[in-house]
Amino acid sequence: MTDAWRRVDGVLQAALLCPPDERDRFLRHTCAGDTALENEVRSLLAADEQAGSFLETPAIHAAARALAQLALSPGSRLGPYEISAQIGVGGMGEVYRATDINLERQVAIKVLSEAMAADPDRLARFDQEAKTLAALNHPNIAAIYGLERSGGTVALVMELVEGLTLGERIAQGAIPASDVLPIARQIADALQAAHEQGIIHRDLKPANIKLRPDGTVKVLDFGLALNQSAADADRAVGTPAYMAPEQIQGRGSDGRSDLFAFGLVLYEMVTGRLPLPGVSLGSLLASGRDVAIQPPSGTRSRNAAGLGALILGLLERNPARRPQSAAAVRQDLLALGNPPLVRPATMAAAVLSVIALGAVLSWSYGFRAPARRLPEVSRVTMMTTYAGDETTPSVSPDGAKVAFAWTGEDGRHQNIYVTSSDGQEEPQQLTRDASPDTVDLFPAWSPDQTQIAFVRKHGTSDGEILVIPAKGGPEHRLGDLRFVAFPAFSWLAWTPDGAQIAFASQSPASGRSTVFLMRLADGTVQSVTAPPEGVIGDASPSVSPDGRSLAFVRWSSPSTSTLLVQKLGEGMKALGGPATVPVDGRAPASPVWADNRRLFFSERERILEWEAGVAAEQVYMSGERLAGIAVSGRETARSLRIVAAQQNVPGARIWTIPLRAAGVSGGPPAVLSSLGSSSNNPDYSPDGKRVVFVNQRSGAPELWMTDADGGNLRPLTRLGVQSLGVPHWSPDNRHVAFFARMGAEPQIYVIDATEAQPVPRQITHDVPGCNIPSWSRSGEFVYCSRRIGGSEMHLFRVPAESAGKNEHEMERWFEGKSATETSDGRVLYIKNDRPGLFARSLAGDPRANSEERLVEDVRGPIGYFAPVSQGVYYTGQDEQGRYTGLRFFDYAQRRSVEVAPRSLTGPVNSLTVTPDGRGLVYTRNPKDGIDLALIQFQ
Amino acid sequence: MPDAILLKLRTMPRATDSGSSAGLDVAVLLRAWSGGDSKALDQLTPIVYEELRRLARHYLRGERQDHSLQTTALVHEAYLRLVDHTRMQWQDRAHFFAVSAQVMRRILVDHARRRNVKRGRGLRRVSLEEAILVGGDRPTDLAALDDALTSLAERDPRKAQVVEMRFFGGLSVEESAEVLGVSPVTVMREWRTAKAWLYRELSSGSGDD
Repeated sequence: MTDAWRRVDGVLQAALLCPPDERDRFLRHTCAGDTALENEVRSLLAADEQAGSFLETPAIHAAARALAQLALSPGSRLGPYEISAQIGVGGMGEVYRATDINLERQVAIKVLSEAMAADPDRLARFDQEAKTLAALNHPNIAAIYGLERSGGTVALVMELVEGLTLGERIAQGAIPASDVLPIARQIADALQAAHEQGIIHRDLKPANIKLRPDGTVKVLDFGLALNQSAADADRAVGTPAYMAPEQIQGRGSDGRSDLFAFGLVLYEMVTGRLPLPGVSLGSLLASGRDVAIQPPSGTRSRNAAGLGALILGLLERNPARRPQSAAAVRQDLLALGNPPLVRPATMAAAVLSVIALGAVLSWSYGFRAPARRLPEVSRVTMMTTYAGDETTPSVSPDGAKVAFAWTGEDGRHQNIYVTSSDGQEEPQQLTRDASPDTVDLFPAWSPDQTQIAFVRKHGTSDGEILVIPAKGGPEHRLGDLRFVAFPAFSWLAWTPDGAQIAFASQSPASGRSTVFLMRLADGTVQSVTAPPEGVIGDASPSVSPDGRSLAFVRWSSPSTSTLLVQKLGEGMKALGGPATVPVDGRAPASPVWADNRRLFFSERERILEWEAGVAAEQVYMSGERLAGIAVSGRETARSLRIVAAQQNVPGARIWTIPLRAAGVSGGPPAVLSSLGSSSNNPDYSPDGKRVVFVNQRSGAPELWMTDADGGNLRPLTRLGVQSLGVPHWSPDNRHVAFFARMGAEPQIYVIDATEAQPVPRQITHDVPGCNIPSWSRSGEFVYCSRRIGGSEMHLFRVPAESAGKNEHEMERWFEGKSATETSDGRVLYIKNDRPGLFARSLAGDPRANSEERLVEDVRGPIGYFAPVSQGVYYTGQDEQGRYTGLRFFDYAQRRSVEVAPRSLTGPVNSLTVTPDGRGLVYTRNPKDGIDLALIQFQ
Repeated sequence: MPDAILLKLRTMPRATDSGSSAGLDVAVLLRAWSGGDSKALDQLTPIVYEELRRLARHYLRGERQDHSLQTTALVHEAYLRLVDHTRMQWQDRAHFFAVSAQVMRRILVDHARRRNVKRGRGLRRVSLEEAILVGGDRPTDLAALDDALTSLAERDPRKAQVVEMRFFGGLSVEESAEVLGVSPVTVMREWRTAKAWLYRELSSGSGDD
């Protein structure tokens, strides 16, 4: 360590111990004229103030998340594909929506399982079949574009088909007669085309058939099933419910096996259900049994009878007795008109096979399951978008408030907060750090909404249950709990009378996590569940509104669970054993009662609803309506059917706040998804028709342009330089000025956005550091700034037509880092190194006009600003050196108002106003963390 | 040891038991590396990297509902799973943490540099993913941070060590104090001034505003 550094360090440390208002005096005194020392320390003190959360989140924290999401977090890229959202998780792997940046089209990307990607033989076979499929090119078969390999990831790139799957359509009820045949014919068409090329689907089922809104049917995943399990030869391929008997017996399958599956698909379309719900018809037939099933349609109409006969023919046990080709089936379908199908429930039973030996299954009750109206997502809103992590949300019973755990902006002090469920209020902090190593979480509203119970974790396994008044006040400790291993969590649940709280804790007797009820009046605790040996234990209790049922999750391993419902009797005692809720998925979690019969719960990235006596159905999937939402929360407001969900926010985003009037917010911030993720610096053309922005999707920052509605996305520059940004439209909507660093120093360039392959023209002379361009309203000049001498930034004015050859064309004005003219071209707003924002009249020679300081409520230099005719939007630092949110200085009234608090906006990274003045558009620094979203169901 | 870790150790196979890392003894490699064998790190890195990745996915795939990813717990867990305790010759827990922080730094920075090269054809560029790692209001490249940290180490080794342990190793102030054999107050002081110095160093490098 050098002496000079030792000196600097010593003075710096001492200065940091001084109260801020005494530092100045201390430094002058201590440095005693040693200006080098004083400047060095002052510069470090300034850095200390600005550092904020710099380095405060350990690298591994973010790294683990980045690693966990592999290459395919939204905003990331796989080869030329930019991932926008996960759209599904199938047997073969995860499916994402993505954009091919070369061809500028949307695609679906299916990431192959690691096991498969790692096996060269399987991969080669898969590759081969993908090539055959790619050559198919049939309008009813989702196209395969190819395989993409990137790092260790192998993905199948496919046509993205919008619309419901046939399965989702059937879940809404049987398909009207008039729609069945057109769909069926297209499926038959697809099968015929594939079979003629020797490609067997092997896993045809409603979930693999997509219905586009325009009526086109697309069959997905041809032939993939075989490849998927080729290395696993013992296992039958396909989905048992739709598999033909010969497939199940492993006797080999051909096109006729697809026809058996097609028969079941047709049956399900007509009736809304399978002939033997919950039973694999194929395996029953394979076992040699004879099965009586009801025909899907009656005999009153010739066509309906014809379709019914065709379906029964397709369901023959012996392939030789089925129609022998897809072409033949297609002919039969074409021969049928559009039959007025008669509902099957009115039909008499018919016998499919002659009853001989073995069991007889006869289904005589009405065929159609009672139509179930699933809740539909009516709205998804981002509720909290703070820095740090917001987790474990709980909606108040009336739906107006949400309690949640928040780590605070520094990510280090997790406490309980309450905010309004529209996210418009500043969060109110309820708990304070009890000690540095405690974490508060799992808030739960009492039924009367006056109190919030929560868990305080000490270290890994110890915790206590506390309760605090919902409006704030002293905490009251109810008792201890002990977390068991993974998943180390315990949602709390009040009983409807507010007298008890259900929680999960390690049982002293068994050592397993067990659900207990604690009586608030006397603190007595009774166990409600009895997890058997060999499981981790029970967690996440929820008590139904009538107090008669307790739902909870039993974890058998850290990644597998079952959802159970325990009936409760007198005194909340368990009545009998718990019943298992059938769930299609390995890890149901976080159940909560919607009413006495229905439960919401999450399963990985889905939200499902289960109704007693009926199956659980998916009601929300990650990626719907909001890119990248990962559900892992739960709700409460039962009557409003609101689910609060946690969202992992991976990348930088452009956000917008609607404006009711100048300076008046019209709603919470929303992601402006039309510009894509990881975009920055948007600027609207003055006519409002186009937006230019910076995006790194090609690997380097480039200017991109879209129409205002997000359509017609195209690159404007292809420079491949290290640094480029701050685009600004010329008043005639034709040119864009921006800075780019092509050589040693950034310079200002102008590009013609109307040209097909525009070449940027440098307008500043090769002098150091030209930055932040902005057009004069006349269109004649571009303002920019440049460092003069040591550190002072000065504003320059350059003719927009300049060729950048003559330094004298750069007209030096006065001190300033950036400047923007008002829309009438009369006033210039200037940002410089001094606190506030400054304005100069442009009348006459602006250099002779005086400078007026406008904004009084920022301490340091202004952050970003965007003038409109009535005033200027800006962001800066407040008295504590924290970023203010977005504010508006009203030019006429000479005062500032808040447009959106910092808690809503986070640190702002660029700011602009739409030309119609109706929207404030800004970019937020990328956040690696969890936000809360509110999903409303109807 | 927390129950959580005990359970994981009981229920899951150790990474060293299977897969590509079979036969490599992490404890031996760590020891070799801290003893100056730079090649040991090359063998160590993929093992630790894979393990962290696996763990991270476990943590995030809904299997830990509270989502409060405890950094230290993650590191502890990764190493506990990787290292056979009975053969660990480090009695000194502190030394172990210090080494783990250095490994983390190497892994993350190498990863960042590789990506920079891949994306920028040799140019250094901030990718969002790495930028977020550093935090603060200004994206910073991990590779740039690594360079700055190296020059900080030249003038003030202890400050650089504190940053390495706190930021790369995820150690708490108290743990860092234990490793360095100084008081937590000293660690806090060094941490704050080191951050200021690094922040200034990294800010001055970016020319756009």
